[in-house]
Amino acid sequence: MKFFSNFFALTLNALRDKMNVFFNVFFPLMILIVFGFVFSGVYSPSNVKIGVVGNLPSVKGISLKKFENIQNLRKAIVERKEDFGIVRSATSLVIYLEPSNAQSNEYYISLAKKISAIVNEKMGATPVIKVVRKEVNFSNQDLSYLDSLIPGILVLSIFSAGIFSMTASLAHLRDKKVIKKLWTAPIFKWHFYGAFVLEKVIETYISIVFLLVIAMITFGIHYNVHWIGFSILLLSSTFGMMGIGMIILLFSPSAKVASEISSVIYTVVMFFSGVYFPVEIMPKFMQRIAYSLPLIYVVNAMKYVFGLRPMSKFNFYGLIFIMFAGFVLVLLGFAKMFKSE
Amino acid sequence: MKRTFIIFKALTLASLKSPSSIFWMMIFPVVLLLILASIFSNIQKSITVRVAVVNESSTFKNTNLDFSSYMIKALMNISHPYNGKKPVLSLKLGNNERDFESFLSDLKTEKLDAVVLIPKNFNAHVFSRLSNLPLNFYPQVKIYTRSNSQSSDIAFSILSSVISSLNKVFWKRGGKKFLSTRIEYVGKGGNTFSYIDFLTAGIIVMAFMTVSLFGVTDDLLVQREKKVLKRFFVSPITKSQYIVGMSLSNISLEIVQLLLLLVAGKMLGANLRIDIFSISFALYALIVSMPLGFFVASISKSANSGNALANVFNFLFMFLGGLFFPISNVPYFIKVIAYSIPTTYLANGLRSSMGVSYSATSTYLNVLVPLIWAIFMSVYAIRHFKWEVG
Amino acid sequence: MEKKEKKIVLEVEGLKKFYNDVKAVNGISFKVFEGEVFTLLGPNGAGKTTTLEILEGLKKHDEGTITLFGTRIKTVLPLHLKEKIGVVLQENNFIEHLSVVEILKTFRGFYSKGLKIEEVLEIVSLNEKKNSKVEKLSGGQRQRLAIGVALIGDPQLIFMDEPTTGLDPQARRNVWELIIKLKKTGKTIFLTTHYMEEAEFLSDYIYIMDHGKIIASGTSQELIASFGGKRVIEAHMNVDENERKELLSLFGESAEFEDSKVFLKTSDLPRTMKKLLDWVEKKRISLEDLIVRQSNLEDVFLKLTGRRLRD
Repeated sequence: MKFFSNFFALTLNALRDKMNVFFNVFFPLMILIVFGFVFSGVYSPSNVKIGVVGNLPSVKGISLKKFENIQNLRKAIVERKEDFGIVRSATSLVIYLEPSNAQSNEYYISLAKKISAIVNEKMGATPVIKVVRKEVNFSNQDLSYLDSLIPGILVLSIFSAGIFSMTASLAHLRDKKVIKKLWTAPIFKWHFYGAFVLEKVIETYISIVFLLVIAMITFGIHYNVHWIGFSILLLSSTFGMMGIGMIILLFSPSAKVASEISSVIYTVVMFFSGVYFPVEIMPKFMQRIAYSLPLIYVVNAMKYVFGLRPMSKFNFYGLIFIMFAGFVLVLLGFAKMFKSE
Repeated sequence: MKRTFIIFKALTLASLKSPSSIFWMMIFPVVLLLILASIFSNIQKSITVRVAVVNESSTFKNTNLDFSSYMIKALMNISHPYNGKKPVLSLKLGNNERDFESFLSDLKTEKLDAVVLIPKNFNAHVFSRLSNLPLNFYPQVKIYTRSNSQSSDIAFSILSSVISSLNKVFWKRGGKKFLSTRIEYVGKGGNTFSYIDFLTAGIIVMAFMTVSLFGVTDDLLVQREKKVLKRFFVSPITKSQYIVGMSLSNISLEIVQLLLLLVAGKMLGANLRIDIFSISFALYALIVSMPLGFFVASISKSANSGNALANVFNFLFMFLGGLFFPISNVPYFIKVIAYSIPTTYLANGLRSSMGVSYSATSTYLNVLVPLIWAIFMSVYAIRHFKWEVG
Repeated sequence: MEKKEKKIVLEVEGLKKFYNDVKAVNGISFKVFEGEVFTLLGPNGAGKTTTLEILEGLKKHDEGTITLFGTRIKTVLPLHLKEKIGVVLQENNFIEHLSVVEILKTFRGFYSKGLKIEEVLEIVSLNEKKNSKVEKLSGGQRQRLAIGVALIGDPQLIFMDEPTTGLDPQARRNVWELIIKLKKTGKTIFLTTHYMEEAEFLSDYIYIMDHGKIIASGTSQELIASFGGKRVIEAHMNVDENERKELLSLFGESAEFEDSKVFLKTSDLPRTMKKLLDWVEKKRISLEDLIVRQSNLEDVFLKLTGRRLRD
């Protein structure tokens, strides 16, 4: 009864708190949709705009725009009207790239080389050795870049929900002396903390599932989600992230400081999560940082339950166990050390 | 003037004494620059891709017609360190079906970036081709890569270059005419472009924007809620004196911020042109970013809702404004948004004035669009900002 | 007083609490009897809130004994005792976005038995506001809600820490009336305050506290009487050091000084008045104002400490 009194009160509070709903649902949704649209065209040849000078054959699935001269083409590339350019001269094909497209240039080069091969073939220089490229992936599905991005985005949402539930919500209750008032009532600490944790876990679960469903509908993605594994991972990682939030809170004198530390950690960890930048393209020292943080493992586990990546059952359940165990350990320390004012 | 200066002094002192202000204004942008620069500049340096080659060819082994061995030798040449640099690729070799299955599994599980399969009759087929024997098929090398993987793309690029070079050797020997490919970088930096140049300008604009959104908005709204503003205005100070003092305070702190970022950028090896034009544009960017904070404060009822709105603006302006990476291959409506927001123009203008890259938008627009935003937001804020709660 | 026939609800002996070198509570002892309104009166920083928070189970005491409802409290207040007390903190905040009724229901869920929500709403006169969210309540209404929450478990002893600080006079009056109402139902109330009128109006027994110690105790009448005189003449005039000495030799210990005021306690008003006015005339001192009033606890405190309660 005492536990549920707290639980219902906290649930009502969460549902009526507009800021809470905004940051847990609408803001991540906005990020998801914007990123979805920004990144959806990255690896699709039909979306790439290529400017050409000289006689170049048309290629199925790739649109080429003709330019009168190199200067115009260069200008168009610089002005980002074209993603890259190819100029045919008597002896060479020059590929013009905009150097700041660091992430996409490799892909553009491969497209250019495809065209170059066709050109040479028409000149009678058919390659002696032909290269056939075959793309494989773990899920054996035809997935776009965005499809593999979404599980990572969900993990980042879990991460932010987990830490901010502690450093924003709980810290706020402490600063307002709401917790102090509760301790004058005949309840044990777990009646409140337990209810708080449960409410946040359920809230996170519902909002993440909601995000996933919206993403699948908006972008028409079909995953082979292992729903039980997904649920277990979602629950355990929420607990794990809350544990991190608790540690931050223990070192913060106020809600404001705790929120700020969380914002910093979130922004920095985001880059090391392997979600927006693959870890293998990072410098070695950054890879080491990435692998020392829990997020990358949770991202990999999430890709596993989405059928995008392999993971041994041992590693998966090991991670689940560590998340839960870590949370419990932190909770015990937290209950002892956390000052209610 | 005196009162404005007093406000300026008080607010500046308050910011300098606030650890969180110092952190977000000064330290965080530099740290972010470091992180992003490290990641992006590494893409341009050689990454060692992990490649496995399964050579199933059995014909002409150990003869000068063992074309597969030439290919493998070429790959082995680039799998050693050269001139102190890391090797371009690391190579594993196999020669049977079992090796192939194992490598393919590694590829799927991200332990390899590409797998090359040289089929059984490869050497014979190449020989036949070179001998101009009528064949209905071509010697083929299959390169397996992982979908949606940058390192796989890079691996494929390297491998196909090697094979392409081999083909060119064959063409040359066969007297065939062909076009070779080469890469050139456009833009001001050309081949000396380094991503840090692109980033530094982007982060400067981001820093100005976040100070405005999270500094100005938050200060005004929190001070309003705590009735600090109310207390000020029962003293002999006007609202415009307060605003000017506050703006000057933020501007001076941001100038320090700008200097820090320029120094950090330079230390990280950025090639930035610092002259009257670039500094002027930077200051211009600083000044036109300020009204954003006032605008958000004027449309927010509370510090909480102001913070939420600030986050939305911050996110949209940062990611759609081309601050960290160029926006390309996006749906039309995203492009429309990207070309409506001021940060796109400020970033383009700053990069252009610093000699980093040509601006995708004209100088005229780079000045005008942010100015229009600034004027609109200022006018709105002046008319609608409520100095008291309720 | 017939205190010996009443049950002791709370007994504290030699209570001490230290914060590093600061002795926030420095050896206080008292007894609280059933059905009493017992007050700890003192200025800000006297140690009242610390004392109360120790008794409420929010802080641990360093030395001394606490016996509550016959149970010796060693460290933490056990749950079965928390069921018997109600608490109104100095600052009362509840989970936001909940209405008055929802907050009462939440707290009611913590007690194994207690009052009905409607009863509590009636007692604290918040029926009309029962569906309002906390943030929409006025200061006085919030305080009444805090008292309502303290009552929901039908406690035998209610702790109230400065229950009317920050309230307007009408709201303060409302809270006083509520406290009187509760006392009439047999509840024991332990409150702290720095308002002398509040202590005088509400209390059956007062302990005056300053710098962590009890410096005086008794009913308000006893306290006033024991410190000389039923009336006070307040003369507003500027006197120098020599003139002060003259007044002291003239009126003895019943003379007190504060800034440009002289206080003379007396049980013989006409005589004291004549003496004072003769002296003023003789010295040709400018008398700005002359007030005659009843002695109060402020005078007692001033006598004991040389400071005002409100300082």
